[in-house]
Amino acid sequence: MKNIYLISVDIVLTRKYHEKDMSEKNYFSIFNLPVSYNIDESKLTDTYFRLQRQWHPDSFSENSTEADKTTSVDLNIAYKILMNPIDRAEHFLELQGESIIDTLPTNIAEEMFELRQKYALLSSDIEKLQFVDYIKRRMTEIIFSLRILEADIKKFKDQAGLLRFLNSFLEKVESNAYSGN
Amino acid sequence: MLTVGIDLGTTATVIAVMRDGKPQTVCVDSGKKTTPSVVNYSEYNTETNKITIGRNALSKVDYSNTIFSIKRSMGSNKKFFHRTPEEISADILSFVKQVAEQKLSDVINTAVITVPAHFSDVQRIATKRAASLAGIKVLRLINEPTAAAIAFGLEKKVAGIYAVYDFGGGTFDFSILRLSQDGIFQVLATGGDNYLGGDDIDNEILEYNFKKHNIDISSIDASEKLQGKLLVKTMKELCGSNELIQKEFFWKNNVYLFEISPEMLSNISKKYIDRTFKIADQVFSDAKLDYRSIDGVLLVGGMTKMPTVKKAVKDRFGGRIFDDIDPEEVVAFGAAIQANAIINKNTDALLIDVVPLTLGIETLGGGVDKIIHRNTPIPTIQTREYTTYKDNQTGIKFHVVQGERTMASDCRSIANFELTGIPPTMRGIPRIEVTFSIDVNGLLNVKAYEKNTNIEQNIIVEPSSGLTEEQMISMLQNAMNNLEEDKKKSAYVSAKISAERQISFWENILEDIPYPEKREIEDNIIYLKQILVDETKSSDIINTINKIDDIVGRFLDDIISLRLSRNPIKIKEKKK
Repeated sequence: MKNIYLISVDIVLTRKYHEKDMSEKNYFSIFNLPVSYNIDESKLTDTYFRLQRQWHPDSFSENSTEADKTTSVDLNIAYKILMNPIDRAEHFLELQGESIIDTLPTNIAEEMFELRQKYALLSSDIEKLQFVDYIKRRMTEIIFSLRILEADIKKFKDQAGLLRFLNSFLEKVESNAYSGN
Repeated sequence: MLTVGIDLGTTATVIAVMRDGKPQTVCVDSGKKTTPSVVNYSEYNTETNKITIGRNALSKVDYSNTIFSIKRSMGSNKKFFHRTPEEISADILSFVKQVAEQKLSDVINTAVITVPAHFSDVQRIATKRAASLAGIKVLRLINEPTAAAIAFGLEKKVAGIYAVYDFGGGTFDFSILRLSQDGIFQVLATGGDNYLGGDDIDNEILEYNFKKHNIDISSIDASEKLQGKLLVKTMKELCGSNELIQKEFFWKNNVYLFEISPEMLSNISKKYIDRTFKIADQVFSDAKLDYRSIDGVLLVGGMTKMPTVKKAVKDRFGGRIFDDIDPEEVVAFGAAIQANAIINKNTDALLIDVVPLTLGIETLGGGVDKIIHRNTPIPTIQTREYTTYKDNQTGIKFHVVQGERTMASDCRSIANFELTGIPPTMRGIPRIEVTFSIDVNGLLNVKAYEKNTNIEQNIIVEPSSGLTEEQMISMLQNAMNNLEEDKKKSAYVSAKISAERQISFWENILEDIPYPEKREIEDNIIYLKQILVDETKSSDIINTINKIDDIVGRFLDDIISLRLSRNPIKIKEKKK
């Protein structure tokens, strides 16, 4: 009996974060943006490009300092987080001392439950594709609603939680769809 | 002193230099733009050191001392005629460098060298070493599709989103980039396969012709096979839209008529083109874009010269095709432009590239904790905190892997290192911080340290030994093909881990359990231990755990209070 999955590496993950603790960092301020979920993505990209031109290691001689390099790294990390609607929501909440909670209000829990059930009943590929389309549309709606909800942290939190659920659900559905054919 | 751009390709190498603000290929081999990446060692010995490279190596009658496609072995510890892949690549680089220096009447000391976007860390380091063996200082390693985009971008100066379809002799890469108005190239997503190229098509055509003449392939030696392959390759290039190409192949005093028809070529190619499209679709999905959102497709690599390939790409993605720079020169052009920009601190063209493959660490049970995801812009740094799994554990083994699969054994092993000297204490107490940083060349540096004691371990990733051909399979492709298998494996591993944990927990409390249940639990534990090693039994394992849980549930509260009174557990306050 070949048993290749011995527990050879005895480590347990406890925490993930970026170079410095994420809560200490404000990624909006790096780009001179107010702390708001509502950002102009093309403007952000322009600012990111402008700053990278200034701080990217290619703009320096070989004796650029560690600090210079860190700035380019920070810009990359911050840009990636702010461009991702879910990461941006999480970071926005963290800056308010909040986080996405796993226990959600009943109406949202119900929506998740219904989606799971609906998915379990789908049989044809076309139905599955339509379902994926539906989830994507629903996510776009939520991202849009987050843009106006940020004054109401409680509602924002619920919608962000739903968005995160839909995203991981979508990943699961899509990977099932790919392996199915 | 000169700086150049070098495209060190699987089948051909190209060297370019900037002249009057424009890139130009230096024709180093018989006045041709490309130098076949072929090295012959038949006259090589310790006294003469005579090596033949490029077309001269191809013109030798005997191929038994000839190396082709050495790039495919980069990063492995294989040896050919006592030379490593790095040394053989260095031989090619030395040759192009020397001839180019004669032609340009100047000394070349620095270069930007291109690598396939999907080259692993180990393969990148090997490439850098090959250059330094050849006396070239590497200013930067850049990804081939990105280099191509730079060359096209400089020509067009039109902002937009472009795809680069790079189909070469040995590798395929697909990237999507954004070019800003002021000359910043931002790679949005990239994907590829290091083992998919024109070579595969040549092999198949060759096999077809051998079969047609009832030649048993196993009776042909490697050198003769290469002769056949080169013949097929020439025929493939001659094969236009409507003529049948026939050539004679000499073998064992017989003449065989080999043939290729356009129809057969397009049938064989189709299979491989479809594989390139599958990769391209994944890249589009990673970039969250669709075909309509790109402004054009840049064609790169020798294969895109084939009308079948060109037409297929055009039909697939619609829109515009850019092929006005020779697909064989374009990568070296981009490298030359970038080399010049770095040397002159001219940041007109600034390049923001991404990590091509996910990097992670093997954790409990053989899973992978993904630390830097593919398509993350570089340079970048990510940190994780880990702790020990067992009480009094004083060391931690780290296994760094690269790839998209969920199990470490299915990913490519990048490095192994250990952090030792952790003071013995309860599990969960040590705080081990692991930092991954990736520089602008795409090279990885890993640092691990224990926060309570400041014990530190720092490694710059070196090519690890013992890499085999099987490990060098294309991982991204496999990840897509093996989702189902991965899921089964992960299910088994996680079932096994939780079973192991539970067994040790129950065995500990067994004495506290009243008689009838104690017996029941014991029986179930024995059964569980039996099925634990069977990978197909994951659902059975879970069912048994649940069964024991149910039994334990009947008096769980009592047990917990018993345990707490005997061995108080401190519950850590949750950090705000």
